[in-house]
Amino acid sequence: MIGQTIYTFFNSLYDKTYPKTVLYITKKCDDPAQVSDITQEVYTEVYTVLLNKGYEHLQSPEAFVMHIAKKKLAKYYGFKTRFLSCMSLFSFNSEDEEEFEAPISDSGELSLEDKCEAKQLYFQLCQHLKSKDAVTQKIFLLYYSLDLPLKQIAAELKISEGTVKNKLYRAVRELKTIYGKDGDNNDRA
Amino acid sequence: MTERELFKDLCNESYIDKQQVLQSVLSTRSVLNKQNGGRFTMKKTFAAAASIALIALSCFTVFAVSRYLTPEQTAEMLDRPFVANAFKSEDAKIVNQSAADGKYMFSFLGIANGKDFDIDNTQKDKTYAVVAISNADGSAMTNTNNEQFFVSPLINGLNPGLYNIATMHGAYTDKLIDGILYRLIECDNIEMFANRELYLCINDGPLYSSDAFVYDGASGKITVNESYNGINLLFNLPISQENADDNKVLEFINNLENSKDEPLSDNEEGTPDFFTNKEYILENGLVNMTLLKENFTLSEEDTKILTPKNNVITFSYDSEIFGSGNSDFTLPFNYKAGESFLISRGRSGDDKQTTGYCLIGTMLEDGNVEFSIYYHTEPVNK
Repeated sequence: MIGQTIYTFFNSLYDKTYPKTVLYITKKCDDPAQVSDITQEVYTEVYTVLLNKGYEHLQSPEAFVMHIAKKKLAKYYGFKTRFLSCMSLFSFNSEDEEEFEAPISDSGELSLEDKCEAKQLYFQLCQHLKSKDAVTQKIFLLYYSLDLPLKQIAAELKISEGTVKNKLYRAVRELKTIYGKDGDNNDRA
Repeated sequence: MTERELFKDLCNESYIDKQQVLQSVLSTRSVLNKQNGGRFTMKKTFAAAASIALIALSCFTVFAVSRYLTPEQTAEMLDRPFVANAFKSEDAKIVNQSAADGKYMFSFLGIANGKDFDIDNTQKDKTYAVVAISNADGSAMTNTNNEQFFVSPLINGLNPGLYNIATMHGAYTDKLIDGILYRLIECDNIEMFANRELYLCINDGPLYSSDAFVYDGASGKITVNESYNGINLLFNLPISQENADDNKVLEFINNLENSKDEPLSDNEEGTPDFFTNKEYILENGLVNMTLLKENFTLSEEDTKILTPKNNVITFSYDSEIFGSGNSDFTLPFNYKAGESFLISRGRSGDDKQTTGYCLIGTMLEDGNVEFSIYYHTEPVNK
């Protein structure tokens, strides 16, 4: 019975804190590929504490999760690494400030479903995404995985909204080119 | 799928998937309760995994597992509540170790012990293990790719060709779930061997391949054959040494040796035993329906026509006599019209009587499959 209660409590806490935790970890870590592992470590520790000590003593469970997240990040990255990581967030080229030309369409069914189900193509898309610079990957993750608005992403990553739009727009355009929706390589597909 | 859904999916695949993280955290539950004073972390998963790499250094790379069902969930999905309960017990071990070999990723998810009905109609201590098999490139398996895999515990000091799941009253069931093939294996409880090195082997093909592994009769060690041109993996089996019992080992070996000399026959009461009489099952899983119909009863209400999709039939049944279940079954051969083949078989019951049942498919002229269940109830041998 107690186990079930903790299980329920943990699930609820997980749902409540997941976006904030992932946002925090994404912001702070220099490699987006590590976000999943660090997040898993954070919640594993949270769950361990709940199993061992219960949750009654926690005054603010949400703050507790953030505390663990900070601790885990500190463990993953030394001060120097984190400092460099923070610096890299500010280091973008002037071309990043280009005017955002077209809004990113979220609507409309893709006529490409069959193509995208082709395993090789999907794998190619993942690989391409991972080959992008860390900031672009973070923007992509925050925009599509956490559904954050562009303005908030810009604020969280401490870069201009124009940069966010441009980086996202370029990444999307390149992915579309790969799967042949539009772009210069359309005819090659 | 909309563009946004596609990109969200890409994010899940490339970076983080909320449900998978949750599942991974919860799957460490029993480890958390028992190991390291609750300080289990992903890093330790990697460290543990590194020990496997030593077994077959050049053959495969080891990864941490994070995207699979837990063994308990797998057992539930395979309609094995007994086994799911076994994986809930404190003795269950969540292993979560993966290794790629060729185009497949093999993930050893966990191991547990429990009691279940054995093929000779008595309750016996069993060992269960769950393995997930997926395409190494991350793509979904659409069927079992017509590949056969042999998964079995092996024991240091015992010739693996003679002592493997096939000779230790073993069985397996598997199911394709979300592009991953989950296999649950069971065999005689091997805890008694805990003071020896124990392995979980995987090789291609339906049976143990003596080409895939090397058994050193002098030292008793079993290793992968580096020159084998196929799938050959060895995982360490984490069994608590507390239950090692040399006397039981001797008894077990003697029983197994003796049973090899016994002819396969019907059981003592003369009742039909589908599970030990080889005349029921012919080559390629074909069933001798004449013999079956003589001794088993057809459950008419469960007979239905199924249409294979990509060579896979999906069936379900719900009976007061032999329980309920549902699963997918990949047709292993191109059966001809009129041929009947074995889909699965099992037992259900209590301490007084059990019902042995077998799920049979019969290929029809139009390419459909007639699904039927035959059963036979008999008292438990005590």
